[in-house]
Amino acid sequence: MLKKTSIYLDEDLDHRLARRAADEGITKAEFIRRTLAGAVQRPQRARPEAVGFEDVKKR
Amino acid sequence: MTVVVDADFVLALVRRRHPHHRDAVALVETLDEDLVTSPLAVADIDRAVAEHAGDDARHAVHRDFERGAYAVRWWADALKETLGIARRHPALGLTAASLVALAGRVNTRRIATFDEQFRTLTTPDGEAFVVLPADR
Repeated sequence: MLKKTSIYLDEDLDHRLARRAADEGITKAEFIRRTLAGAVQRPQRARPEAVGFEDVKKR
Repeated sequence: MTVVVDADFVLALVRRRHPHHRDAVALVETLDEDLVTSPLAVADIDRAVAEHAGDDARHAVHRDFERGAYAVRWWADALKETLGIARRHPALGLTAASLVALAGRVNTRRIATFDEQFRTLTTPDGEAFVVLPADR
């Protein structure tokens, strides 16, 4: 079930949201929902493991 | 929040003998933010790691990309935006320009780099970069 809410956005941000949503082929509302869902539920990213290698010897 | 990373920062992580290795490790150990870069930087990372640290390190970096340790972003207008930034900054290479464009795309001004030229640049929104790890 979806709950209606209202927020104020800068005009520029509103345009950028619309553009990003169009890039993704979804509505602006859906883009905002997905972005917010990701922000609150996003798992911690993997940490880089390619760390601390010795240099190769140059000929 | 997202942090843009450049190729030399990843190289500093990979190479134990890089002059900024410890600084780079300390930063990624404490950051929870997404690390994102451009395909142009990925190509630079691949070449530089292979040259300096060899194939084992190169393959380890490939696995990091597969695991999502670094995100890679490109979009429909990325090249146009990159070229526009490079045109405004003639001394700037396309890879660095792509990272400036990327910062605008992901709406961040935080960049992990040891390249001081980013202090003279701004995001596409006109904001100064927060250069990490120096500005922590």
